[in-house]
Order: sequence, then structure tokens, then C-alpha cells
Amino acid sequence: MGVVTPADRELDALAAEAAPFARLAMVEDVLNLARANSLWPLTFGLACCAIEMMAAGASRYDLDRFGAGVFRPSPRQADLMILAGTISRKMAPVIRTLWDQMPAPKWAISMGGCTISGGPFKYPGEYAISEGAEKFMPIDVHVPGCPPRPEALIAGLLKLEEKIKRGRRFGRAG
Amino acid sequence: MDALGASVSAPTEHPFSGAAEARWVAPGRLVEASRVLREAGYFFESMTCVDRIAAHGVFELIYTFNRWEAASRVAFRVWAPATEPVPSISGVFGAANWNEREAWEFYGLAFSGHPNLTWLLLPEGTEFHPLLKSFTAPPASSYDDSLTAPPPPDDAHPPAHH
Repeated sequence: MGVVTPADRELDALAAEAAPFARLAMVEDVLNLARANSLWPLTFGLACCAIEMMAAGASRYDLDRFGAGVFRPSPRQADLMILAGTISRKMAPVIRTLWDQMPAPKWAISMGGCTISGGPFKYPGEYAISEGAEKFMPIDVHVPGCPPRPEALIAGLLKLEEKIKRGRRFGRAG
Repeated sequence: MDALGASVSAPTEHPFSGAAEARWVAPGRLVEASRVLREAGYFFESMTCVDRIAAHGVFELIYTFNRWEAASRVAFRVWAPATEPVPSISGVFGAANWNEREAWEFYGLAFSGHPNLTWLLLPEGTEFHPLLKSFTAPPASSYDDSLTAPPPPDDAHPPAHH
């Protein structure tokens, strides 16, 4: 949440008053609509979930239908990180660096059991696998499964789009 | 292979072991024996390490070499005392470099003359050897140096006032 100034409150009150009569398409509103419908994921896969992610991006499931098929080769150009697969302790600092290199606003989807909690690799004495991505970075949407089917990833993506659109300046989305 | 005459041949059956010939090689003769294979046109296939400390106080190293002819895989079996470094063969077969690093980090078995004996698969600085039979769990202090850092401030979302 940003800082709410008295001017903001006045503006909000004015907007609430005008809402029944006028639809105020504020800049942030339009921007969020654009952001939600043109998510650019970072191109990288960690393990078997990445195969499902690739299937979701290919013609049969076609992420381009949702504007999210433009996988970027650089974190500087991406605004969505899809964590697809097992995160080893060796890889975790690398992922954290990539996340820090992405410019805000940015979002993250954790795909599959491994990135949620360590999945099948969580057991006493385990020494190599990070137990969930949320140990070192914020996650917006969790997609459970081992691995989740492409439909599940698409459902997660649509949930994220909903979340982004809810960031609108006036009122809540539907 | 005749040049390896001094080493002792171990019995193998190719259909079961996949190796046409297996030889016991003393650690001290390993580099020399590898060079004989190199000159005979063999390439390095793989290396396996077995923890036999409890029974014999040694690591058993199994090196396999091959060449593009039918049924010509050769295996070297080395019993290496757990406390002494094994001579590295990465100077003869460059491909052995990573296998030796892996054996070093997972078993703590040192290789003398290795150009870059450092962590390959485990995070840098790992101080335990997880494939030893005596390994049960990593020490708690070895967990998550980088991962326990607090998550970054949530700057992911544009400000929303409602």
C-alpha cells in the first residue's frame, strides 16, 4: 500500500460521489488492465514442471491467448516469474538474484508442490532442496500439482490477472 | 591391455556387468594405467564411488572406459584408503574432472593433483558429505545461509487505495 495523503482521500470521496454518474477511467486502472493482459514471463524452467509450462506456452494450450506467451530472455524485460520445478539450495540464491533484477511491478507464480513446500523432497535429513520458494521471495499465486497440468497453470494465470486488475484506483473489480 | 599386466584381473561376465574386463588397480598406479587406455584409444565413461568404510575402511572407486568397438568396456576397481588422497586422472582424461569433484563433495574423498577440487552440485561452502553411510542429517547451522534473508519489501504491486 502506498501512502494515502489528504488529497487522495478528497479525490476518493469525489470519485465515490461521482461513481453513479460517471465512469472515471483513471490511468492506474488502464495500466493495470494492460499489465494483466500482457504479462511477460521470464524464460526459465527448474525441473519437470517446466515441461508442463512449455506445453502451456505451445500451440495446444497457447498462453498467447491470455497475452502471457511472450517469454523474455532477460529479467529486465520480464514482469512475471513462473517458478516451475524443484528449487535446489544451490539454485535458490540465483533465483533470488533474478527476482531482484526484475523491475517492479512484478509478480510470481509458484508452480507445483516443490516450489510451494518442497513437495516430495521434504523429509527429515534432506540436505539439497529448498522447502518452498516463499522462504526467499514473495509469491502471488500458488498452483498445486505434481506437476500441474497446463490447464492448472492457465487457471493460476487467470487468478493472477484478477489480482492485478483489483489493484485499480477506484473501487474493486467485480 | 597387455601393458596393464601387473594389475590383477577381476572376473566379469559382460552380459551381467556390462564390462568386458575389470581390473583391480592400486591407487598409486591409477594414472599410469589410465594413460595406457588413453593411448589405446579408450575414452572415459564414468566413475562411481562406494562407501565401504564400515567393512574395509576404504572407498571403492569404479572407473569405466570404453571405445567404439563391440563389447570393449573396461572397468578399473580401486580400493582407496579413506584417509589418503587418490591421484586424479583428470590430467589424462579431462572428463574425469567433474566426476572427481562429485566424489569429493559427496564422500569427502580427496584427489591429489586435481586442478579445481571444489563444489559441483552442492552449494559452495557445504561442509558435510551426504552420501557417506554415516550421514544422517545436515547440521542445523549449515541450513539456508542465503535463504534465511528476509523477503524483499512487497514492491510488486502498484499502490491501491481501496
